[in-house]
Amino acid sequence: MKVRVTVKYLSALRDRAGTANEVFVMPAGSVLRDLTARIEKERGISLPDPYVMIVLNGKGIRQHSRRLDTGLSDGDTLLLLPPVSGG
Amino acid sequence: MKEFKGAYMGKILRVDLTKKASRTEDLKGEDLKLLLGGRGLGAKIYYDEIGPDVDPFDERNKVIFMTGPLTGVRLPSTTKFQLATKSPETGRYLCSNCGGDFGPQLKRAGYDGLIVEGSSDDWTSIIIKDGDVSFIDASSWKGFNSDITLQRLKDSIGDARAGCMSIGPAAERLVRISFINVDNRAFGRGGAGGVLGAKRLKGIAVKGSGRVPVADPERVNQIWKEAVKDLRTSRANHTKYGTPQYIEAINEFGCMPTRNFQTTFFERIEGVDAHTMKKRYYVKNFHCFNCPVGCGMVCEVKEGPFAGARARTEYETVALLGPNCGVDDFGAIVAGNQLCDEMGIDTMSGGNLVGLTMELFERGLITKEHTDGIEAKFGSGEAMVGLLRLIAERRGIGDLLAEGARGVMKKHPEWAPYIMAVKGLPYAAYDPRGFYGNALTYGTSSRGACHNVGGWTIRAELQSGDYDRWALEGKGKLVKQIQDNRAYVDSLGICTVVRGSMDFRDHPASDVMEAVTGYGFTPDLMNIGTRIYNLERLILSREGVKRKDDQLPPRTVNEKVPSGPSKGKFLTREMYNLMLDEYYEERGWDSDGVPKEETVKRLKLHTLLS
Ligand code: SF4
Repeated sequence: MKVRVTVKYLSALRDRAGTANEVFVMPAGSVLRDLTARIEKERGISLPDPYVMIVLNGKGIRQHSRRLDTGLSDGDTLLLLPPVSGG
Repeated sequence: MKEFKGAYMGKILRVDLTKKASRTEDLKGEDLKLLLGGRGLGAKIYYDEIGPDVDPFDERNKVIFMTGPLTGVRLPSTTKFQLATKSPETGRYLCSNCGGDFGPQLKRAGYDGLIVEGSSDDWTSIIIKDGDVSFIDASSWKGFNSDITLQRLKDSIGDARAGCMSIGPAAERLVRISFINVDNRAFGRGGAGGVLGAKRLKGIAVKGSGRVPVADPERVNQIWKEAVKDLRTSRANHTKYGTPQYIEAINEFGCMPTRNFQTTFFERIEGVDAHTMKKRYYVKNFHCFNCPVGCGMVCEVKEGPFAGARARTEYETVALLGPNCGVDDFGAIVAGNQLCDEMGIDTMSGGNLVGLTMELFERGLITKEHTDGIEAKFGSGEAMVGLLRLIAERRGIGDLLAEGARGVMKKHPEWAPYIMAVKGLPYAAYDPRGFYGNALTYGTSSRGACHNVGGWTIRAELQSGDYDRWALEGKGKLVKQIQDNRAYVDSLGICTVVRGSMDFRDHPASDVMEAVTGYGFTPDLMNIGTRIYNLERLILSREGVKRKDDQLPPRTVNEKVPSGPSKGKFLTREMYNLMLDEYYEERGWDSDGVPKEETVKRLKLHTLLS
């Protein structure tokens, strides 16, 4: 059983990634750290980075109790974007 | 004033339009120590001089412009100054923050503030050259767009570097969502332009030949260099994409106002996001005074039905003229933005009122007869621009919309389910069902549903790790803290985008304030923010504001989000009131939202206001 995670690169992160979004197929049991390692390898974006905000399924990564050890599930969405600071 | 060795000029200029006369007054050091300047001092003058019985268009209403200690100092983005007046849009206290050259030039001319009072018989403009104040006949300028008026003011004062502010034709017609154009930035919200319109004041130009002194020039110079270096990295995205960089993110977070806040996710966001803007419309950056960031994105439409339109688009404008009207054409947004700028109306209230009109039209509550023949359907860029024009010109239903959300509600209380406003001020471009803290932001902001004065919570709710965005607990404390922070920053005279580079945070470092003023303001800055927020609430209480006025419109507390990432999320009135209870408690206000006596005393407001 594999898990499919959609990664969306927003605003300036899209420029860094060179794409707007993509789907990563990960082995069952993968955690967020496994995904960020792949993003670093394939897109050259190393995480965590103070200038990159990580949002998993609508919640900032710091809001997940296990942070990078958080387990991934099929259908998850990960957003990567510059930190937000008001309009 | 001797405790200050820099930053303040020590004087306020008071101009009486009825008598065509002016005089100066000395600032009081004690007031500055407690309120800093800017928004704080503006609120105190408002408290002392504009009573609850004064109508916004009454000649007894005044417009108070106040700079802060950092305005005009050689540090990044020391461009900001504040306005306080009775708002035509809400009928209550209004504070507003703006950039441009005007604030710095006012200080160079020797004044920390300018109070405009009375009312002129004929259209006039004020020209301030250092200590010289004169009035010019502006009767031939009537009907001029706000930007043309700025040019006339520059010609009249004879200096292209002068700071200038103007109103457009909408304010002349007393449209209640009219703005004041300040060097192509704006006092946007609350309709302050209409107050100048009622006074028959078309504009003000100011040019000073002095300098703003600082206590320790060498240290200030060093701080400047460090801050500029920091901003190159920390604000690089603002330089690249401006505030429209948030369009995609806010949509993905599920709090984008869509079709009059019916849902919180816009399906065709690619048409209006920052990449589309940059690729197809961007012309150049716009910088406020002394700003290395330059977050203003000047855009131009090169082809299609809106070809030739040109404007500087901000996140709030794009969201409210775009998704909130169902519009996915960035070109239409630029055209709507330009029309608002020229006619002189607030794009945010404008976008809300157009969204409302489109919903009423689609529900069959109004017809083409009301809209001057416009097929006012969501998604039509032409209709969005056309309806904005109706408002600015007070034609058809535009005459009613020009009375603002409060006026519409008064005439048609049965439309309440579709009117998205608090205290008469329409929502900013975030749907609170996506971030519950934002609900309190809108409910308790000192000027109605504003994300700036009310406290922008999204960063903390998403990034800090301390909150769950869909939880109620802790939001009262959070919102209070962000509001107080913003109140002191608004009183400094710098832009909120750059403040982090100079350590103006919740626990501000003492360095900058000491180097500039020679006085040890810190660590008291957050307390000053708390004091200002309570002073504003005292004003609002005097104007009749109570718990019932801190409530949210029905849609936010009755309807579940129907689509997008926040699908199924909802708030109820009971949930909201639990947060409100916590907020009042944190503030030291009673259960009706009035500051308790002990709170007033603790903050020394009783001595300040006696
Ligand atoms: S960051 Fe933007 S709003 Fe702030 S001073 Fe600079 S250009 Fe003006």
